[in-house]
Amino acid sequence: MALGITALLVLIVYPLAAVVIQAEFPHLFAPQSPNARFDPAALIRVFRTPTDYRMLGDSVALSLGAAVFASVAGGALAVVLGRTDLPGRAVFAGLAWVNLLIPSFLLAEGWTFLLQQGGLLSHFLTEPGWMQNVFTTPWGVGAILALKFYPFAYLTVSAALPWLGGEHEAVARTLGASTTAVWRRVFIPLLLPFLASAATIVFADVLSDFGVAITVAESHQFPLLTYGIYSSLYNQPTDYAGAGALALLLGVAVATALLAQLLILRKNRFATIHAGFRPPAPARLRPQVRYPLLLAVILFFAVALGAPAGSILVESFLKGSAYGIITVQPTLANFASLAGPTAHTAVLSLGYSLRLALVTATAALALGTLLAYFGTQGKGGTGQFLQAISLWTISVPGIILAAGYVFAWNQRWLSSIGLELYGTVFALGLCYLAGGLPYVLRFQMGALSQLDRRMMSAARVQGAGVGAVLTRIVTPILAEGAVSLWLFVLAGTTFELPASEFLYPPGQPTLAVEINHFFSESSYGQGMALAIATAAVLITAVLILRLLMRRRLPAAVRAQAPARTF
Amino acid sequence: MGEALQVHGLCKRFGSVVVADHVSFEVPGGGYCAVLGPSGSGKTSLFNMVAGLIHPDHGSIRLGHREFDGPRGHLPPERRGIGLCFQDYALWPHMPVKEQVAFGMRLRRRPAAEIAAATRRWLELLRIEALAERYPHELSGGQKQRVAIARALAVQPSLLLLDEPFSNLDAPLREILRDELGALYSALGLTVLHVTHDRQEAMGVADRVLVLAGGRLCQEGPPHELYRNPANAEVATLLGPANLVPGHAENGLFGANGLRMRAAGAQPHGPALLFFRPESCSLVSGPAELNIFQARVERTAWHETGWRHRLKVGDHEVVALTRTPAEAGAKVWVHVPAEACRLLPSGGASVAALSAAG
Repeated sequence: MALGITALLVLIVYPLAAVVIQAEFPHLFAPQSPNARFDPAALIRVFRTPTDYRMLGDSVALSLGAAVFASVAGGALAVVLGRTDLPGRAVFAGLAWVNLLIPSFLLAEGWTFLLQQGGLLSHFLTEPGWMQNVFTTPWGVGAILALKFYPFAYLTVSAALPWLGGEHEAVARTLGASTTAVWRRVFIPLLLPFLASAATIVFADVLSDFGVAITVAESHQFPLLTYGIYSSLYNQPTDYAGAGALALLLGVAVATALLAQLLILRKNRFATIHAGFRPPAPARLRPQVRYPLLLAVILFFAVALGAPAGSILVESFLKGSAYGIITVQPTLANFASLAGPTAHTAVLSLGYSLRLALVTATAALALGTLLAYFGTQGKGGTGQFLQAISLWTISVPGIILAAGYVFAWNQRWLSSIGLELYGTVFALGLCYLAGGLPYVLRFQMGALSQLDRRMMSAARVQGAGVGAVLTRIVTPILAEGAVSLWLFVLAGTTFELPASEFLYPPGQPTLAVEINHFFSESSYGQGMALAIATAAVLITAVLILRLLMRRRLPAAVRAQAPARTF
Repeated sequence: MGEALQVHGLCKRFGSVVVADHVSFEVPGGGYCAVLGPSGSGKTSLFNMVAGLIHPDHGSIRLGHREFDGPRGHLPPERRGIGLCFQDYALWPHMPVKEQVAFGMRLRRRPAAEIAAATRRWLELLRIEALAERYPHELSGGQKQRVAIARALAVQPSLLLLDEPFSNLDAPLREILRDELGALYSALGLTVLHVTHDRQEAMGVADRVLVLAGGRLCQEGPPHELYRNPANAEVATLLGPANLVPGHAENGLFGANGLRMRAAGAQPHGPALLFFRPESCSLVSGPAELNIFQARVERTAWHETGWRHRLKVGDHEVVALTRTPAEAGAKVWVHVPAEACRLLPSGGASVAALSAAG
């Protein structure tokens, strides 16, 4: 346990502390005569430099707008899919997950290819001008971000819907409430805290996003905070203190949102689930409502997912599809080039990222589950520490963590003790692990806290030690969820961009870096083909694992696996 | 054969809440002991301490010659060799019935053939052999209960711990299982510690009952003894419907307005509570004399085996369960024999809250 907590401190707490140190005590990391003098000059500079100040304001305003839009859309979608008998609910729910899993930089490129001057839409519409104009404004960037991150709101509200039990509706109905009144007076007030919580989650995620910032926003001369951190570290002369200050401000904004979410949920805790809880039956829609609603949902997914993903797919099948020179001739040349001798680096990067992601996801699952077990079984302090660290770090933007790794592991004193991690695959792997671990910790703690502790006590009294309890009771019961979690971390790590950009070892670009290189060299078709080939590998892995799980796990475990909450 | 359980000076507190306050008792080998107490009395904490799931702050727990907790430290639950059955059974959702029963034997690395034979035997004994391949979600409450018991017994424990094992079952099934399993434990010679808040469950199976309140052991003894001779008002109401009338005792006589009663047992002097059970009452023709008092019938209703009258005696309410009907508003004479009356200390629990229970 102590070893696990030390790992958390080294992997997560130290790099994040390095960000704060870099912003407030920049001389501590100075190569010559380091000292711990407090110097907030970099932080003050952000507020005095108009471009930086505007970047900060724009990022916050954009995130607020996107949060409101995504919460309304995600919340409405959750209610429609969770409380009605609309056809195809399972498919739509799956599509929301697909939307969540596609990296934002790919979605952003998909939108760009679709809406850019001379893009795909220009070939099918004679007057796409207004769309192109909107696309290049902050509103357009905000819409792209909202359409990427609405699944967080969808999942948050979906998790809350079962709280609105059938009994609530039955009681309100017997007291004379109509369907509208039940929603207005009972359900919506119960849902409001969850909607507010969803909005804060989306706000934090939009603010932390790097993929859209480095692609669409940057190319539209609309720099965002995460791009500011990146350019401070990437452009010459390198501005470590400036990057630290921006990262600190980003962290403060995200932490404020997180705190607001905690306060909202704490203040509105409706503990209404009980042993005899009866989940509500889905509402039967009348035909005059059902079909327009179905059409609206299809349209929503067509825009949110179909447009950018379809655009990615089309682009991968077009030859030389740099914007403005589209030849609408389907070809497999982009995929064929991945197998050719010229694409050696691309294929290497795919294998390299998959190997790294496999190791990271497995290590994160093992370490996270072990820590979560001790956290939920142990006394209050340990559990609370782990809850706090997972809750806090899960919201830490990847770019802050990545910047923290640059600051933390690129230190002369580490070289003097023979610990030269920076520039090696270990720094990158550890940063990946640090990014995945909080998700595992949080989800597994949630799952374990829902497991009846008496099941584990019964096993212990039967003679099972901690190891036997973990392997024979906990692991089989949580297996299906754990595999999903492992796949989630695997997919996220395979396409991870910010840490990869900062930390990939020279000459060994990761997949996301390679795809981004293709984009920056205007080889969009090849970049998209590489992304789709990777997605195909991952989807095949998911399908095989699901099939194996279905065969290996009894229906009982699948039916009773604890629900996970975001 | 079960071994004797000895608990001595057990103390446990969670923050400022005391859940065990110098609790000491002994259950002889093969004995069936029920721990009865209201919610928050500390009975589940006692159960968990005996199981080894929580550590006591002080005191010792021994089973036969083995020390579970005490000066030599804490024996972890997996090394205590006990069986345990929870209120919600805690069956593992990923294992079929036969695997649940075989689990403990597998951990003990018994030969496969022996495990298979023993599993079959326990399933037959609990009459669930047809359910061997089923998963917990495919079982009824009673079947789950049998599986949990089979699982606990399959490791041949010296002590069986039961935590409200019948509370999730409907009344007829509860009675059937209670009798059936009671006979099984007796035949196996098991020592059983059974915690419950249900007095009928406690008194229906146990040969000894411990009453806990606020982490303290209030009284222990055979169920009929506790029922007739409770040590205080709390024990009296926990074990069944009780009439508790505050008054004054002197020279072997109890007086309150409208009552002059003689009681058996201890004869305190000064403020006291007169205790008697509703079924000790009978309606007589009067007149007023020792242990006969006049009362007005407030309400009357049929209750299982007789008429249940709610009576008013002066300022006090009394409940009588008799074979004689009476009409609401009527004045009746009530006789309670001296051997059915006890005088209890008047301090402690709120008399208003406790009196005329049931």
